Amino acid sequence: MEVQKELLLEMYRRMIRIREFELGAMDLFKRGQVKGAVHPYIGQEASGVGVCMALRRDDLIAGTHRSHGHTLAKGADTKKMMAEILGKETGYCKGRGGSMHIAAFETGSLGALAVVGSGIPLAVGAALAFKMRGEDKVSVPFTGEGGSNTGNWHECMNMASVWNLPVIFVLENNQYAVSTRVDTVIKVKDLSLRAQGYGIPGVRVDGFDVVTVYEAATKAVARARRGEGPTLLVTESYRFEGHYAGEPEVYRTRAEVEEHRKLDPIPRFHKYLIDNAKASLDEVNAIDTEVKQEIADAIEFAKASPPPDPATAKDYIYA
Amino acid sequence: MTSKEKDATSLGSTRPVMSPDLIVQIPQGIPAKEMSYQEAIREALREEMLRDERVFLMGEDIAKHGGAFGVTRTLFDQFGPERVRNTPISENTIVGAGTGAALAGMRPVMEIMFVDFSGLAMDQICTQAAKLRFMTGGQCKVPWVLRMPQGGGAGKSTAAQHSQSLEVWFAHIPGLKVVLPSTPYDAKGLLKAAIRDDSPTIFLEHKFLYSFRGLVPDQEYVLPLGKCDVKRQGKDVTVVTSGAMVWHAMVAANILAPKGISVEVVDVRTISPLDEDTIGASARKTGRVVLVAEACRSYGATGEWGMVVVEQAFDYLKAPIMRVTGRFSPIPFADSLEKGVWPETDDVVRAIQRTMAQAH
Amino acid sequence: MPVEVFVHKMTDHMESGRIIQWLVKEGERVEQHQVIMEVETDKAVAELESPASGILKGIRPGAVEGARVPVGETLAFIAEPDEQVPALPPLPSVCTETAVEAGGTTAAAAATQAQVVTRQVRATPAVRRIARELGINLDLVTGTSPDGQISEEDVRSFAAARGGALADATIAATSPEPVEWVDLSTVQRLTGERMVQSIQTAPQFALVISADMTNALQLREAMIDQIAKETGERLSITALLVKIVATALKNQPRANASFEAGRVKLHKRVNVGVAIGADAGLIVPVIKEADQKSLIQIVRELQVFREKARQMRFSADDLSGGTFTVSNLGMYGIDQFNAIVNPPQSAILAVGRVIKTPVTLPDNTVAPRPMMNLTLTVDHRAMDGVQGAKFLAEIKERLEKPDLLRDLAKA
Repeated sequence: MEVQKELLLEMYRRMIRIREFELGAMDLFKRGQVKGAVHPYIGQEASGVGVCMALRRDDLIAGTHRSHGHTLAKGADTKKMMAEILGKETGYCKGRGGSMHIAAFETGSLGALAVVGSGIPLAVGAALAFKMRGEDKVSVPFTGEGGSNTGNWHECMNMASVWNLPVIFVLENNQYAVSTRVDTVIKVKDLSLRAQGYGIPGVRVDGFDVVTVYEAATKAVARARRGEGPTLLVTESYRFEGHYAGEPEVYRTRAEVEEHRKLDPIPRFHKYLIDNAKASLDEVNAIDTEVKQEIADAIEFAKASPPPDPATAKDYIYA
Repeated sequence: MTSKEKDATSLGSTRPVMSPDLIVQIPQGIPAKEMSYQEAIREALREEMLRDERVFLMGEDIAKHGGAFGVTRTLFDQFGPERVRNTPISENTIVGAGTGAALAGMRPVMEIMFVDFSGLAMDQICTQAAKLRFMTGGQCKVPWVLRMPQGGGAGKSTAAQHSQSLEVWFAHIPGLKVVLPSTPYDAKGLLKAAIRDDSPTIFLEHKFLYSFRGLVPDQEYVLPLGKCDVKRQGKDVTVVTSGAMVWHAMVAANILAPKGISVEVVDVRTISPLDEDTIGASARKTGRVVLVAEACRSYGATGEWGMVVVEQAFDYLKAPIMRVTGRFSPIPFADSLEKGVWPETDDVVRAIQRTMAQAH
Repeated sequence: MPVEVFVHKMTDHMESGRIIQWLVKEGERVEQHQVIMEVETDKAVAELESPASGILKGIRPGAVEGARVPVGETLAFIAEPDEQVPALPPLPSVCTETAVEAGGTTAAAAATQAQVVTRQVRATPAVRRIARELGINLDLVTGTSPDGQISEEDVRSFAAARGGALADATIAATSPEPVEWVDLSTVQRLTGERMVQSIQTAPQFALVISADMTNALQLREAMIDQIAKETGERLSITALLVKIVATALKNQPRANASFEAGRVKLHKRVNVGVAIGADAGLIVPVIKEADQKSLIQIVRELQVFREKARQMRFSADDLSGGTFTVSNLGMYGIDQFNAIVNPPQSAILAVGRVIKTPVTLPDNTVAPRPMMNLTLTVDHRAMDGVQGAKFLAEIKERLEKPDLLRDLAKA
């Protein structure tokens, strides 16, 4: 599949954007300026970007607690995202959601839901709505391998398949659910085999290769838009940071992490672009610089923004 | 689990049979039809589905079969399989998909067969749907209705997992609305309101009220959520109640009227958000309050209503607030044990008499 | 089988009685018909006899001096030494007053078993609101229900009895004479009630005598250092009088008595009450067995009582058991006054100030002398004029004669 240069550069930009955003968020967290917790997507950028680049703005994604990456990949604004993480009025959720509940409806992101698996039915329901209204939109619930053990996931795979809904179930196998390694909680090694039980296609790709992910996603999206129903897309990846920023990762070795860092999708893609003459070094460096500035601006904006007014504390409880 | 509808017009007690004349909500002369609580709910669904194509139904066995309690009968024939959808046995995803569809602009009315099964869907109901609008700072709304039959009846023997009254589970979650109608008139008007309301609304139907009949106006009407209905005016004592217990309260009031005790019956109707003002005004008027609820005693709605009375009417109380509730126990199967699990009309009568005796 | 001890209905309308004192303690052996308690009824002080012989056990919490107990309520049991008796719940809250003759506020826990005795007003919220709106202090209203609960009717009757104008603040505001309403403290109210009772039941007359205080004042001077060293105070005239009165009472038993149910009860012990003015009202703490105490002891006790009066921290014991009362208003400049007998006592001595008065001496010369008026008010049912006069004369003698004064100082 020949991918246009603009698209490739945009993929690079989005991956860098996620990387820099996560680094910035982690830094703020370490300085005590971000409350609660942040769950960095570092190392998984190719998975989220590869999928979201295959979607239209009006397609919907539903995320998890680790969804800064998904939401940014779908095109969300870094200022509003950073402001939300800092709990400011100018954040996407007006400070009401925080890191784990960022929703950017204007760019088709239904929200990060922190109960593992809970976002999947929302995506399925949205797909139902699209189908009922005869629209060709698709919806994409993201989950990890841990989430694929929940009742939610199985009920949704079943319902979406039997009703033939336009859903792409993306399963990002980052190998760890907090401290629990995948092989201790799932019997099959190839998670895409789970699709067979539901009568839908299952595809498994290298989650560190953004173009491969993009290609697989594009196929699945096309299938869905044609009305042929859901696909399970498994991306094999790895979580470089702890489950949350600052976690003492006692459950895995430094060596294991370092081994996987060698697979870092960003330098890999950088190399790909240059080696295959898809872009010049200047173009790529320019993107690096712009994105770094963009994140710095977002942090400035977030810090300077006001917190929500306590007088509005009871807003949005009811519609 | 039974899908047979009982035709008896009693709540299973040996007390007088409840008749349609017991609760009169429509003035004489208004064109109206007598219909059952079940039919009234169906009419509400039908009218709203005709009115707004975004409204559709999801639940187990609701399509051709018409639902476990027959509520959705004929709707499948009228609206087809897309809008009257049978689902797999996946309560959490029934609600979750309904929530997702609502986020994407639809207005689903979902059915869970018994409120006792709602435990399987609590994450989607309470942790997701109830909070999405708030968590996203108002970026979305979740305009769904979740219909669930609840309640028990002496002698009906539906036992521990098919008889509970769980309105307080949901009433305790900010973001949800909770409705519990007692009559056909209220059921139709409140369901229409719930479907048109943009917040997620739990619509609890008392399974043994399905056959109770009453007058329903021919002309379209919608009742307000969040407002009590004073079903009977009185001056000596206020009975605050809801659901099937409203009928017991009305019979009790009729028994006590010739004995010189004038009972005011306040039907809460919307459990949450609670109409505290009406309860308060009634308590201030009579100075004596008896709270009657079917759900088991501890941490039930009567605790909330009692505190509302204290907050609104303490200086007017002539006697301690009393309550009549279900027994704090799982519901047993055997008749001999089931007897007395729920309040009977006699219990309400006695509580009122005790309150009157204590008053100064 | 334990036998119940309870207050009988002793008069027609009696619904409750007030415990004046237990005459026996828990665990003591009593004989049938032995008087074990003095109870104040609506008419007089009554004796409660033991219904059986045995050990007094299981005194009910709250059944203490000053407590108002309903007729018929079990207060204790008479049982065999090894018999178990039921534990009785605390007395139902009839309006209990504190164990004070003249009325006092809650004291620090008096008896070890007794509950803190406070007045509890029982009324529903609605009744309280009505009382508030009518400006009625519920402490003053008697509940007519059997359990003492105050009804709306009780409040409205009370308001009506006080005069309709009371109820309406606007009427008060528009009445021609500006007024301010002051509610009485419990002490004041009860004192008033007792004085009414005293006047209504006891035919009282007063005897006045003047004593030449020259020698008494000299004694005071002479004892200054001694008293100051022991107590840090001066010897007050009141202390002196207490001692003198106590001695005199031993010689005139009729002045140390009570009239009860047609008979005169002579008290074996001489417990002299001293009227003290406190913020809450007139309090009469009692110096027990004052005849047995030295002057210095009496000074000390008075000192303690005055301190307690500042904080209103009297025990029930302090305020009960008085057999005679001394009331001195001399420090307020009063020359002479007639006190009202303090029921159930039968006499009270009212003392005025020391006045430099020209007096005709035995040799017919006139000289200024420090004279002090002593007025004895007497319940004529217990004592007649001659007995009263003799008593008063002895007091005067003991105030004036140097040798008697000297004995006093030594005792």
